[in-house]
Amino acid sequence: MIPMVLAVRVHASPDKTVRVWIPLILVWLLLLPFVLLLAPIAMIVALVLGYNVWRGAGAIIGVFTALSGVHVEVQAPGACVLVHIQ
Amino acid sequence: MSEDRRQILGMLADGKISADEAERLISALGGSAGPQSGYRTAQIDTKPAERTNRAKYLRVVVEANDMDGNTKVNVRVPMQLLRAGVRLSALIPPQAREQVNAALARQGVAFDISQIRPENLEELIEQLNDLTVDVDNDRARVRVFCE
Repeated sequence: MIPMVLAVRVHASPDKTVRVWIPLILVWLLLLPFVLLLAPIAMIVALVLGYNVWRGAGAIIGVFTALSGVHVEVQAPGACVLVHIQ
Repeated sequence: MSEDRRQILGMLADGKISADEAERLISALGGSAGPQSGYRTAQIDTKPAERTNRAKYLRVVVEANDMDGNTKVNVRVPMQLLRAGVRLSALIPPQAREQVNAALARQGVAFDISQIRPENLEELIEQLNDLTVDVDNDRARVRVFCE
């Protein structure tokens, strides 16, 4: 399943914490027209260069769907940043 | 198919539970199977049980003591993303592969990245399950493991 929510938490100072939940489904919907427009061009380029289009598309979709569960957390003396893809 | 199994599969189809949860529930049901089906159930349920033991994430934990204070880095990468990444590596153009191989060789790593193929992928990921790297010195501690 493609990732649906991106959670970002930035803790810059003791009294300032920013929490953002980005609904990725809206981002995907916004990007969909561009993908549909660029897909034929990408297919032509791939065919000219001799790439397997379906294998490439499958690999890219595979990366997108596998992004769920990525968690990056950095705690430094000056700041604390958390990024979680769900 | 028993009513319980049908119910679990229905919940999976409705998206109420994940595939892993369904697998666990079905393997738990295996114990309540009748005596005639005992051998068959054991045979079927061995694989899911093995699969649930497989690591799902690669974790990298770094704890460093700098002059300014402690820095902690905690990264969790799904194994599925590693699989997808290896599949994506098949798309690297041959010229770029040669350059990567040459760069690796310069660093003393005699490795041909074209040898990473999707058919060898599962074996590679399986081997990662047992991987644990633990680097500990007075300034930093780095742990790489699967969970």
